Amino acid sequence: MSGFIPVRVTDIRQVTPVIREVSLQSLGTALPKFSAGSHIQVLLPNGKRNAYSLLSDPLDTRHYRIAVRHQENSRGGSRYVHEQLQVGDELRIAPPANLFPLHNEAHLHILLAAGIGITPFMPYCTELLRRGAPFELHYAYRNCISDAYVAQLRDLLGERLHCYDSPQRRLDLKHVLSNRPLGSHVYACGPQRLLDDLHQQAASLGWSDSRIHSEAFSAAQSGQPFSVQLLRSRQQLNVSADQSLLEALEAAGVEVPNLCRGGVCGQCQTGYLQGDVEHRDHFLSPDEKAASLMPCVSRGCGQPLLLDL
Amino acid sequence: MSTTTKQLPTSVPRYYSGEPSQLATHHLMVSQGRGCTEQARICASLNSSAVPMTHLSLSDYPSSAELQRAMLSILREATVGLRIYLLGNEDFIWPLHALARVAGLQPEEIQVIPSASCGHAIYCVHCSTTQHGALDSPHTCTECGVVLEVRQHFSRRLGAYLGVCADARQPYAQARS
Ligand code: FES
Repeated sequence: MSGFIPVRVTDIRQVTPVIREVSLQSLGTALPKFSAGSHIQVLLPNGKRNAYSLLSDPLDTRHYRIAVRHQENSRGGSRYVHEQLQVGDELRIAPPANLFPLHNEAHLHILLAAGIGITPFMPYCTELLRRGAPFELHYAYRNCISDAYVAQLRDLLGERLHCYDSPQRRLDLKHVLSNRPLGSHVYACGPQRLLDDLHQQAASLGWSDSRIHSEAFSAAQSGQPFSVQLLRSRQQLNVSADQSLLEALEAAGVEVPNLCRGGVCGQCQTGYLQGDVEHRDHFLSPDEKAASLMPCVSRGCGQPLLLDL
Repeated sequence: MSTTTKQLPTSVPRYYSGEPSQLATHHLMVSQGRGCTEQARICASLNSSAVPMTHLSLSDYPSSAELQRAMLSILREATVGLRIYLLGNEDFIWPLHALARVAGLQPEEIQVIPSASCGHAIYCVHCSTTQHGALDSPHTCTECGVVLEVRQHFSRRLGAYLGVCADARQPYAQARS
């Protein structure tokens, strides 16, 4: 895939015991401008490629900042960032794309973040303050573990910030969503469980779907090794336990369009003709799963896969 | 993508069945007249649902501007969960639809139920008159007399379909020799 941007790591900061912030600077011309909620894909020297939300001010084209949480079951991406990445290292990134934009028609923006899900909301806050738009941020975290940027946000947002330091204080969705003015929109970023609860609670309070915007920070998880056959390019590939099918395809020179690398955007949808799939995406309908899979997260299991590639 | 619906330009309104929303926490019905059967049916179903219903009728206000003001003051106080039902002619419904959108309602929270009795609103682009008629045949403008072709283009601002001179060689009511 062309269009990758070479960057250098200019700063690494341990924000909490499990969260590292990385600053990136372009090696060439200025970095592209982006809109709040955008993410970039980072290509690590170990071949892993993950999507991370941009934290920095959307108008800052000299630096991008991302924050990476150390995942227990890391396939090598977050572990590499936490254990090996150094200031001065050179990496490549894909230009920003936005799957989680602000809705300009909203009169009140209600932001819900859990843990590392705070990242897309950092530029949201910058942007909404700049616009003078009404908003509030509800942030659930574990004190001294996943409480990134709390002090900074408190200074920046004052009364607009509502903290839920679990397990002492829980985020009460019903309370947050009740009796809101007509122009309200809610945005959530966090684990799938939070998003499911949000959809259920919002529906029971009469919120229509188009007021609810969410981003799961799911990335590929490791699994069992498996093999695939490619129908059109007549190749046979082996996918290792901590590699995603998409990464294996890319390593073999087969480019599949992709954006989120987390099973939500729908870009990487690929047909298959045979085999058993362990579907792990949040995109395909049950019907579509009979003939399509999302190689960024889903894996083969049982009968070997034959892909329409 | 579903292919079952006939493809129409996106400006052409899609009307809902008129069944009350199951998710609503409050219904607001705004109607142009009183007493048509469609309205009675919807009123009955809204009243039978478990949530409160408010009804504004143009016949209770001195003008449509007053009605709009009343609707806006309700919307200002309203909370997410409200569903709104607009009944009447297209040129009555669509300005209210626009107001409801500006007040923060989402398109799927607004149901429009046009009254079928007097046909569709047609706006003559030549003399700026809105009138009522059928969509499928040429329409003679009641004001300037030009024979209009009614385009598959619905202006939500005007609440009407655009009518444009059907025969470019005869842009006036009478043929000129
Ligand atoms: S890249 Fe987004 S679903 Fe696979």
